[in-house]
Amino acid sequence: MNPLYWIELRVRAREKRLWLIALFFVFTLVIISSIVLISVLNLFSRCIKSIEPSGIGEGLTWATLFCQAGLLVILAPLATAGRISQEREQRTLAALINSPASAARIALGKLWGAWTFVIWLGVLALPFLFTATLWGGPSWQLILACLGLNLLAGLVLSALSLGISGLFGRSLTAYLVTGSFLFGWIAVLPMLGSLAMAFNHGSNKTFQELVMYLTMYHNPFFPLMALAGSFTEWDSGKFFIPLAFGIGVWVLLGAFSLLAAVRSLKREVY
Amino acid sequence: MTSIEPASLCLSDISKTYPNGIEALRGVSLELRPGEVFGLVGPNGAGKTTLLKVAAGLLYPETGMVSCSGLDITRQPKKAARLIGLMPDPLGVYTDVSAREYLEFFARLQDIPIHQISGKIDCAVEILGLSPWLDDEVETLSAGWQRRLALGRVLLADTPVLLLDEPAAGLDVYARSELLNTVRRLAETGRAVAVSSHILPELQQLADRFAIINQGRWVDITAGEPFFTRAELDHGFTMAEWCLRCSRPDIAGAVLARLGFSAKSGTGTLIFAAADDAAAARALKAVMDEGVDVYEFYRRQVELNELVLQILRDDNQSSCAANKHGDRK
Repeated sequence: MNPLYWIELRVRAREKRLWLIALFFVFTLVIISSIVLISVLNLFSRCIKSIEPSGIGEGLTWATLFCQAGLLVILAPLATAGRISQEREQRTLAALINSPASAARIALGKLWGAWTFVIWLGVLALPFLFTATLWGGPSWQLILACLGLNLLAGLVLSALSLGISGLFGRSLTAYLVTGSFLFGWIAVLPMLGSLAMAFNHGSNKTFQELVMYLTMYHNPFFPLMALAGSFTEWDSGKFFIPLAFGIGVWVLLGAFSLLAAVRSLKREVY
Repeated sequence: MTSIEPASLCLSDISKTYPNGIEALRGVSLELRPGEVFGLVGPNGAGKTTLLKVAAGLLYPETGMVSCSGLDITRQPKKAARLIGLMPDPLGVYTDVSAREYLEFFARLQDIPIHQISGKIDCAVEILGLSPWLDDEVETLSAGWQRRLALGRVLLADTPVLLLDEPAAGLDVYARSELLNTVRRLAETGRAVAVSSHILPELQQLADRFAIINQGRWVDITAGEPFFTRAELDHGFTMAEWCLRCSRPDIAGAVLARLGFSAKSGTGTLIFAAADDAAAARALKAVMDEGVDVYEFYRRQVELNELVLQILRDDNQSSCAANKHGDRK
């Protein structure tokens, strides 16, 4: 086993407040699911007069999956940002570098450690998804694909945070830069894209598509939205290329970030 | 402690300038031999830590080369880890794990087979007396015990070259004495050990060879020679100094002057330099022949503390003079 992965697990297992994160995660899921359940039941009772169980299942499943994605987008970087800068800060990097472990092994150990945390949070959502599917709704293949996407997003965001943390000597700076980058990527870029499309309302379709590719298709939430949107038209393949593009950008971003983390571990240790 | 394949560490003409422009090392060369303890002495900011980090491959020098057993460490710093163990200062220990987990982590990093880890940890723990605190969190250990733990990490690596930066800082007298014994035993098993320390009396007992670094370069002790041995400290560099405490220092002083010795008096003790033991014995006999009662007669050791202070004072004065001369030009 990678020693860094081993120590990351030990450190996290020793974390006295770890249950608080789990509680926050589960509590948020409970709140969102309850709101969705009440809204769907209200909608059915007011408009349709008869309750459709698969509609309830569908609402609950997507609510859980989006909530999980949202929480992972917040918690995965929080768990990883500063993992290398912290080593510089607490002066433990010299001991790590003065060991036969390669820089890649150190970075991967830290990444797997963070991703295990993400997977653990992902697993906490499974009972909710299972309960939701009891009502009916999306197929289990689609749910599994969405779960996989969420975990992949968690891995990419962890790699990104790790890469950023390698660039800085102070954890606080690493956290702030990671937060700013993610805010720009997840919130500002889509807003800019929407503005660009709003200002060029009558423009041709190619421009609209270009803006979508530049600002939205690689958003961490987009693949999930694409799958949710395709739920009713799964066979059309409408979202296949944007989905592949988005995941491709993620993979590239993750790989470059990991490379940056490895390179940062080869720098001099003052 | 097991014997080890001996390895020597060679640093030749190392220069290192930090990004902020500070010249930390200026053409420093050193050969660390197997089985010796080398004492690295110098004021704060002299370049001791930089020198040890360059030697361990953590910093890359602008000029010069570091090699260990034929391996060019400046080109292959990762391979240095199998040959050179560094205990840095500041220490940097993981505080949120237990002492056992800390040692196990570094044993795993060293690729020690899992079934051997426990035995190796027990061995290091026994040497360092860590067993009562093995299951405590590192955070709860005192600075001295954390330092021993860090030394335990270096012992686990079992490298033929050990670089210890301020290993005794923060340790109590008993722990320091234990540490001296441990380091001495490590050298006896064929390891080359370099120790940087500000606790000079203990370093004087521990090291076989010394050098003083100031402003990033060695300070010459004798003409063109920066290195000196413990024997030179014990017996004097050129002439040994002798101390004589007696009933009539005035008569003894006159006798010594008659014999051609220049004696100085300090707190009732006469101090004079003699070329060899025979000359000192002749002086003692002459004093006793005059009916003077001799209470004490011994060779005066050169204290590392005194020597370092004197050398650094002289070095700083000559640097200032050189700078002024340069300014005038």
